[in-house]
Amino acid sequence: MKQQLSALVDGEVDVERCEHIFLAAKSTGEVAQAWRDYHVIRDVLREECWVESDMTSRIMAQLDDEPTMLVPQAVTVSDKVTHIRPRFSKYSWSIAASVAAAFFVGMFVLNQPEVGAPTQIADNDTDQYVVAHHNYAPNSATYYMHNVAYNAGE
Amino acid sequence: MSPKNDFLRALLPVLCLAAISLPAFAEEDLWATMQKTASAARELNYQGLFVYHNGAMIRSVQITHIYEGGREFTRNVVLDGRPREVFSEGDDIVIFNAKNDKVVIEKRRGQNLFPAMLPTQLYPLKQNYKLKFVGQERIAGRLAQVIDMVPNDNLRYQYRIWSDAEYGLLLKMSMLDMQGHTLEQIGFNQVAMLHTKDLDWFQPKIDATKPYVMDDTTDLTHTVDNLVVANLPTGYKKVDQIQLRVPGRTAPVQQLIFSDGLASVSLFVEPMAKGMQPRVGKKTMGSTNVYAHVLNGYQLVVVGEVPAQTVEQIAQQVTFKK
Repeated sequence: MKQQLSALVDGEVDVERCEHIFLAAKSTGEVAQAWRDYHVIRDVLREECWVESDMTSRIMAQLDDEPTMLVPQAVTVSDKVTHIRPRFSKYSWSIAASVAAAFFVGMFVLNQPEVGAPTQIADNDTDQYVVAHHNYAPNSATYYMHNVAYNAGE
Repeated sequence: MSPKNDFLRALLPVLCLAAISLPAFAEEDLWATMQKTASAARELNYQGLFVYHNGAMIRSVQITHIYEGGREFTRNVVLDGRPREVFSEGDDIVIFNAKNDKVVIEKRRGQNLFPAMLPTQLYPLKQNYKLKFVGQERIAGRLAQVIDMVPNDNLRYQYRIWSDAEYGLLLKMSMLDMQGHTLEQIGFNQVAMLHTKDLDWFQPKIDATKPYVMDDTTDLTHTVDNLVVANLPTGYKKVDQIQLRVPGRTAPVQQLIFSDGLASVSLFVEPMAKGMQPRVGKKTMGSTNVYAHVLNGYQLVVVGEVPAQTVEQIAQQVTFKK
């Protein structure tokens, strides 16, 4: 799996297999973590700029323990790799730079004290919940929009 | 032979024809049309432009959908507002969401994205809605069968669907309140069948100048706790439970999701922390109703595209096991 990850990050995977898009979604826990780690490692190898964070320092510590992770692996997943497509590798996906993504930051942070009538919730009091509902409930129509509250969380 | 008999004789074939064609509007046949509509959105190859209306909000979305080797690939590009691309392969959904100086990659669980709004398993819908044939209309240059989904009770809204008369593709769908006012609507402006299986289009437009960050604040694994919703409104079932890790909060927020097969409701539960302002009350925003109250030191918030009565009933039914 880690070899596949390496190939993915280096853009050596056939785009038509689409795995680069979906690996992150399909995987959880260790694999998802590794996926992000590889981006950091790759950025380090290329001496690309990235912002210092807890996560990156943790990865640097991990690198000491696992030097082999730094060796680019020969791609062995022959069915997945048909040709080199540098499309993705050209760019810096500094994913680790802000792994603590800001999406939900402040999302549930408490708003100003309630002032409205007790039976009517203040205008933006529950917007964060509405956004979370639209994001994760299987109701599609509301899916293409973002409420104002989405901005408020930034 | 009297002229009256002649008249009846002439009428007979018409009556027979009517008797034959009537079953076409029988409910069982309408359900068959619904089944075809549910499958068509997933199994056909098409490209088009659809528009989503909700109150004053309008969004145009360009969609490309290909079904290849048992796998379903969709790319939705939101053309209005913030740049946003939604990719789905089967149940896996990844969103590239441009936000100011960065692009946030969000992952989602399987959702019924337009035009695949109807679930392939129609059984839950059959329990909660009756079908009524409305007629035929032209939508996006295509002839459509118009069918109303009338709820059996007032715990859910009414829907109207326009199904392509030839292909069965869902061309349009609207949600109406009890008074028949349209609450939200989604439908094609133009649509065409694709004859290619090429997947060149299935990739995000990368902005090299921006960092890409992963949103991983949601734990999509199932969780169990001592929460019980004793008597759910008729026809609603719990379909999922996830937890949201919220920065700055000590405890995760639980999100329970309920559905009647079409409409969905979320119940959020979080422990009241010190200094947290309790929220109590209700709110209506277009098709969305919200109900909040506090129970046993927990803040409960119920949100859904359902009538106010339904969110309130769910909120009132929450208990905590000892």
